[in-house]
Amino acid sequence: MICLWTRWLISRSHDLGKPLPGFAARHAESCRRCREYARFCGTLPSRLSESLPARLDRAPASSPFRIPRVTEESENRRSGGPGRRVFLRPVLVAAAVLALAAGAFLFLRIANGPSMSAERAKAALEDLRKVTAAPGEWPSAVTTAESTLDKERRLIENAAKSAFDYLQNRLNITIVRADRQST
Amino acid sequence: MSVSERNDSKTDEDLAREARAGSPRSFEELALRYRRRLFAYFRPRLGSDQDAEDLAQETLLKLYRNIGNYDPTYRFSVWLYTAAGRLAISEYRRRTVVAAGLRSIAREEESREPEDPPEKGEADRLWTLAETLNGNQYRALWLRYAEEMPINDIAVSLGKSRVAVRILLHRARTNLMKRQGEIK
Repeated sequence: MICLWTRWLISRSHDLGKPLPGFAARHAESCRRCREYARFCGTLPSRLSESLPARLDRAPASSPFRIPRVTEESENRRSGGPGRRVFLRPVLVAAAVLALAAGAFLFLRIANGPSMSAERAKAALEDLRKVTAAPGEWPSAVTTAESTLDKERRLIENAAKSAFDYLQNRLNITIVRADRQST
Repeated sequence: MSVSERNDSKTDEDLAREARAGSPRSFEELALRYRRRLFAYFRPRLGSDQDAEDLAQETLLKLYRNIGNYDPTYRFSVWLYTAAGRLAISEYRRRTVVAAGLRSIAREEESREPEDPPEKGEADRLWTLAETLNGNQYRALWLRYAEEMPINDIAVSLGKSRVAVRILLHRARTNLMKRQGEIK
């Protein structure tokens, strides 16, 4: 037990620079293992730092670090320095979460809703037929639409005719319709 | 940081300050200083050199993107290893399945170690032994002896309390000594 305590105190003296308490120092002098531990801890910094360059040389010689072009350009564009923070807007996030929740709720409602019975399906089909069936007044509606178009055509024809007459009188020329000319 | 790598008169903090002011070249210099260190920091827990190198690159890129958040009153290395530790944890979690396979490979390699006498020097062998320690013990040891960080900075970098760091270091030393065969 005293060995464990002594070694802990030896470590503490190396980490914090505190002197080793008297009892621990005396124990370390008499205990071979604790003495070796103290020696090991004492030589560790120099041994490790001496070998560090060789250790680092073992790292593979790869291409040096280059800042990717895109990042560099985007950094240069920013006026507030190279650092960049992305803030989530709480209102937008809350709205998105609500929309997602509503969507999920509707989906679950539809997915878990009662399936349509045969009678309900038949009634729905009947309704659909009623909607799509052509009503009796459709032919007259078509005729009315056609007569309106005919009236429009006549109006345009008359307007064109009066324009032709005006031009013939004004310019002293004769305008003949192509279809009448051919006949 | 070794003298050979610190031939530039500017400190890490100076370079970080310049990088923060918008100098990509200063950051590239910092990256040059720390790339191999990050590699050595990550390597023991990752499966391959390539993975360690990728993670080192990723860490540096992340730091560059966030250099605006760097507070020059703190040591640059503390900031770097804090980010590195966080990235490493994410990476280790992502690769849990792969790591399980790799651990078995590592165990095989470990069992082969006595048959294969190390060609490296005794001191270099110490780092090799350190790599076989528990991940946190190795990282604490690395920050203490390779980066020469005080306990406070190690605690910040590893996201642990000061006492936890001291316990980690104590266990790392004890295990390292046992593995070295100095305690029979």
